[in-house]
Amino acid sequence: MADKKINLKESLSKLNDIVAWFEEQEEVDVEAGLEKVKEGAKLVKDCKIRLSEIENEFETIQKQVE
Amino acid sequence: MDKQLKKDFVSINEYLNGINKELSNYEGRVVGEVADVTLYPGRSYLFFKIKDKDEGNPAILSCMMWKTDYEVSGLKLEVGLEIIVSGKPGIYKPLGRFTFNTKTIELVGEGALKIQYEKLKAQLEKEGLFAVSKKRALPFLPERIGLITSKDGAVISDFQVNLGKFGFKISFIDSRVEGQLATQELLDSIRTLKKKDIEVLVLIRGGGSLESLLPFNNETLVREIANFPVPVIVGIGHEKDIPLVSLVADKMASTPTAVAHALNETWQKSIHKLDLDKEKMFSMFKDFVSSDQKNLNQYFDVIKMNFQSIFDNFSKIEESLKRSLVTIKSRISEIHRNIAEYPKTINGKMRILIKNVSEKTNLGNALLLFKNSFDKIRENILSAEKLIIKSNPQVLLKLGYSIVQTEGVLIRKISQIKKGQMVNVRVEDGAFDSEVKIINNK
Repeated sequence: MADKKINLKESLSKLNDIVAWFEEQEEVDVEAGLEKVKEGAKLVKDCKIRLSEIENEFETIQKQVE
Repeated sequence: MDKQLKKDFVSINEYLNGINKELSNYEGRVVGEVADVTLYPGRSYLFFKIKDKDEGNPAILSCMMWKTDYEVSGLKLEVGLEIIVSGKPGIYKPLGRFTFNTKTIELVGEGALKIQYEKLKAQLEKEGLFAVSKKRALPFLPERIGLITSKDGAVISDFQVNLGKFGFKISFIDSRVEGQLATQELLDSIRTLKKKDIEVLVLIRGGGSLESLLPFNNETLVREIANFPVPVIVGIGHEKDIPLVSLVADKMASTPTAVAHALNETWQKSIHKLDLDKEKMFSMFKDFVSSDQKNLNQYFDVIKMNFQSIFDNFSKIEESLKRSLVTIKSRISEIHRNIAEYPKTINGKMRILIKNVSEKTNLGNALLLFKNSFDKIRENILSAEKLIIKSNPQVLLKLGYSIVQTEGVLIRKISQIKKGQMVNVRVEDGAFDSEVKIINNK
């Protein structure tokens, strides 16, 4: 399947948000919690896959002389 | 002008161009004490002179410098200051004057450099450029990095080796990091990256003495870093005095490795706690569910209680209904009894009626009744006949009675007539008119 490669930063940020969401909940909403757990578990899996293949990009640019 | 003349002489311009071309080979660094400074406010250049300290053998060098280069130097020229000028000599053609075209100026010796360093540091500190409150936090999970350093040497490779593979996008500019020319290159590099879409700027170089780190104590450069739009990390090794550029940076480190680690930090933390986050999520969700279960049980109890109350009420209502049913039943029985009684009553009445009718319809009785009725009718007819015959006026007239009338009305009472009134009197065989003369009351 030609899935677009996930953005590691976005996925990690989303995961952080989900954990923060759980920590902030005062009233229990099991349905919403279940959705978050499912999404979080997928993010963890995706991040691990992405980490194994990701590389840094290095570009040399010329300084502009004023 | 013919060929012969051309060979004998040249114009001043041509001559001086030739001289200047030759003089440009005499690029050098010359040390001397500032003797005279003319700043020419509002102009783009300035003039100054330096002289040798040796009074027995005085020598003076006239210098010209562009203001832009002067500002980059970070120095303030004052008479008596010992400096090194770098540049090329030439003849200023409009005035025919020998001039040293100065590119950079720098102080001489560690002592002077130290004084300049301390002076600038104190001034910038006073302005609040190094204040902790001004330090910006590095971005969370930085991706786009601007990097300025020299492409040669171990520094850049140390940085790259230690930078984690988190998908960093590095925009790199190669720049001198040592010597007076480094200041301008560093400024150009910073200004170029200022226009790029980066999240953090990294400036790194290896360690060095105060003298070799001179560009990193340059006021213009320090201010440029202070005003950079995104957080800046400076990683410069130093022996004793921290470069002013490091002091003004949002984060400083002394090695390129430390800078790389700073950039890795949030990434590593986030990745290290991936499994932890997963566990945490599941554990918190489990708590959610058990808490929900607890609530459910409570709800069940409430529902159970309510249902029990409904059942209790139902029993009461049932009892009441049962009682009502008994009453209705006894009432129905009563009605039923009454209904049962009705035929007997009706029967009785009917019997009496039938008996009467039966009695009346007996034939003998019927004939007797008929005869009696007939006789009674005949008697009535006969008496009526007699009455009619007796009452016939003709018969009465015959007997001598007369009928008196006035104006067609029968006179029965005295009150109907007056004295002198004319009356008609009818007798059996005719009538006559008579006048009332005398009225006698009974």
